[in-house]
Amino acid sequence: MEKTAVSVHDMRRAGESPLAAVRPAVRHVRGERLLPGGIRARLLLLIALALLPMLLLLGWIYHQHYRNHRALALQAELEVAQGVATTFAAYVEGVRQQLTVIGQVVITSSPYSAPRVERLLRDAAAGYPAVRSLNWVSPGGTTLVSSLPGAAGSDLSARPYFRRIAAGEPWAIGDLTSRSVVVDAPTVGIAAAVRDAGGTLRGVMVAGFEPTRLGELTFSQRHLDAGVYALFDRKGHLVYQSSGRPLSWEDRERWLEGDPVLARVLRTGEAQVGPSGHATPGGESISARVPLPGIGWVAGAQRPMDVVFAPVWRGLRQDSLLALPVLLLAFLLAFLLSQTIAGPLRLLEEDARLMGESGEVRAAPPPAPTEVSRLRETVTKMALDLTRRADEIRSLNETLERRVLERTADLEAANREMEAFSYSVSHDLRAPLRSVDGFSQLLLERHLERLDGQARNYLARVRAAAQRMGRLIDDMLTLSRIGRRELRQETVDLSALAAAAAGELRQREPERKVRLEIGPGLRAGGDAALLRIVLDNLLGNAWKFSAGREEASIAVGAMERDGETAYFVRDNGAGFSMSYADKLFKPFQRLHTEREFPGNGIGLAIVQRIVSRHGGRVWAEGAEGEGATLYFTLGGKPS
Amino acid sequence: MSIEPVILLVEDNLDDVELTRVALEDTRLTNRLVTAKDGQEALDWLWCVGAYKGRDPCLVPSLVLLDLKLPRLNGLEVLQRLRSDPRTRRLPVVILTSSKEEQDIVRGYDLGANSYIQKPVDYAQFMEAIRKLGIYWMVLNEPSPR
Repeated sequence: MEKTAVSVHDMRRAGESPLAAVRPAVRHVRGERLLPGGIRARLLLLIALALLPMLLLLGWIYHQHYRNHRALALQAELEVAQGVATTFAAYVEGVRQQLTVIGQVVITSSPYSAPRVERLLRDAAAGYPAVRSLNWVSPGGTTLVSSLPGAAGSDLSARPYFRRIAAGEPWAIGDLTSRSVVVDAPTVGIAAAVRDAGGTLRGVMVAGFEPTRLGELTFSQRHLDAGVYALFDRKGHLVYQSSGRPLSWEDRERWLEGDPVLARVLRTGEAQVGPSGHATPGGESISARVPLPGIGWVAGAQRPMDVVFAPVWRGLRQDSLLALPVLLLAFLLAFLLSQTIAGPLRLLEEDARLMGESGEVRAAPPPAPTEVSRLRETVTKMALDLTRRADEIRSLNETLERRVLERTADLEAANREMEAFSYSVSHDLRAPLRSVDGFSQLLLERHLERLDGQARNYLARVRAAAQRMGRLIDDMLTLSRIGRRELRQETVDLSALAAAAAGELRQREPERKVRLEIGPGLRAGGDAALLRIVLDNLLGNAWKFSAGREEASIAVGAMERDGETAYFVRDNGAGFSMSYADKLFKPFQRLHTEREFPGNGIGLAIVQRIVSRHGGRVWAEGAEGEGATLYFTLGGKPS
Repeated sequence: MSIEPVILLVEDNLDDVELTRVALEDTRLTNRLVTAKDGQEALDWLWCVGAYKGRDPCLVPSLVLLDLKLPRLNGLEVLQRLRSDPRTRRLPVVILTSSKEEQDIVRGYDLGANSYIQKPVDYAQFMEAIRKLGIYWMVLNEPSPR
């Protein structure tokens, strides 16, 4: 019972050990340290990586959108500026034609009457709110008549536009000046040459503008969305600005310094757009500047950045409002999908642990991906298999246990029979022998005179046979007793036992001369009574087989053999042939005749039985006529 | 009740009885030998009951030589009964038997045997043992007073 329980325990331990051996193999390889350990985390990472290109693409698309919107916005700004340019050019052209017409009227009307011309000029000026004055100027540059009182008589010959007329140009527009001849306000002059049919310059019509009033007339109808439009002269001075604070002359004169876009236009003569240098109330702004061909001026439009880009941001916002929820939805769906993978796996792991601990199997497994379901099936099958095998092993163990009990009972019965048998042998077989020997002896003692020599000889043989058989029975009983006897374990002084055995032999045959060497301090663990039988037999044999030697010698000692202590008894007697070495220890096996050396062949069988009961072994070495050495070990470690 | 200077030999084997008798011849103890061929007869004789009812004089012997393997009551059973009876509690009993089984020896002493002797097969040794035994128990040994 005890033994089986232990074996079941061992099996369970053995069942654990393969798992323990597998565990280190699951250790993460070096590259995996960078990854998160759990499946759920890895799936999330996978989703994030899968969505990353989409995010990048989206970002790129947004960027393109932004660029397009921006280009469109800038284009729109340029168009505004272009509109301003066109409008202003048309306006200037209108004024020029008007001036030419009035000039022709002046030179063709006759007679020339200054008051009438003045009246004409005043009427014409009234139709142009921005025109402060219309002047009729002599080819020499002297103002002859002006719509503005007090202006007549002033000399305009030094004005750049006048010089260009004088140089032969049909018309000219001047740059902004800080004041006019009469009025202290920034002024721009437009001049048109008035020639007669012969082409002779008869005079010059000059219109004096007041730029601050220009826009109200020409551009007020334009819708500008918080924008500002402006006009600049050839020098980059600010001629007109549609809104904003009132500007001093210095502001106008130094405008160019703070307007890089304008500077670029003046330098290249092409339309430009970009961030403006001058801040507007709404923060950063975008400026578009367009040159006015033929006039040399620049028209401009300027709007706050956020106004220009409002449609850009609006577009982006719309795109984002559409894309982000889609992205989030995709992520959410992917996450939920990943849960249907990671969840069942974790559940399976938990269930597998439970199966290992209690052998319980979940009846209705939750839905899971195919592979996980199959894995669950495999694991479940394994768990059931293991349980079944454990049951099998248990039942095998029970069978085994029952068999062991049966065999033990059988053995005990056989042992009891054997004991009864040897008890009976011990009593009943010896008694007749005693009678045979006893009465033969009595015949020899009391009826000697009636017996002849042969009869006496026969009786002696009867007695010898009876005594031999008595010894045989004793030895057989000894042999059978050794197997049944409980082995005692004690420290035995083999030297002393050998000396005692040798002493008995000497006492029995005091006439024998034998040189006896017994190694001192030979100790062994074992049953002293049984080891005494071993030494009695071995020394008895050595004594017996060395009988023929003139100088018989027997040695008892110990030596190391294969890491064990081997004890030996050596003699220089008759020896034996090594070819019979394996027969030596068989019961009743003899290598000599009874006549040569008496004995029944049980002694060494007894020795072997005792030594093997101690867990040791016995063997012999020798040669015919050269003595024998009998070795035995006792299964203990060398001391 | 006093001690009778006789030896009771309890032995079923008549050869052994004869050999024992011959062995005792030289010790002048032969005519003091009484035999019983089984355990029950031994008890009857000792306690003067059964077939020996009214045996006269009803005395206990100086020594009982007890074989173990006997018909009816075996030797150890006889010993046990002798030791449980006040009349024979201190009676010297020597187990004289063929075997040397350890269990017999131990049990014999446990039940109060005074000595245990294995009958040797060699008759010379047997005679020697019987003679020494007779001399020791009949001459040297001082029995317990009643």
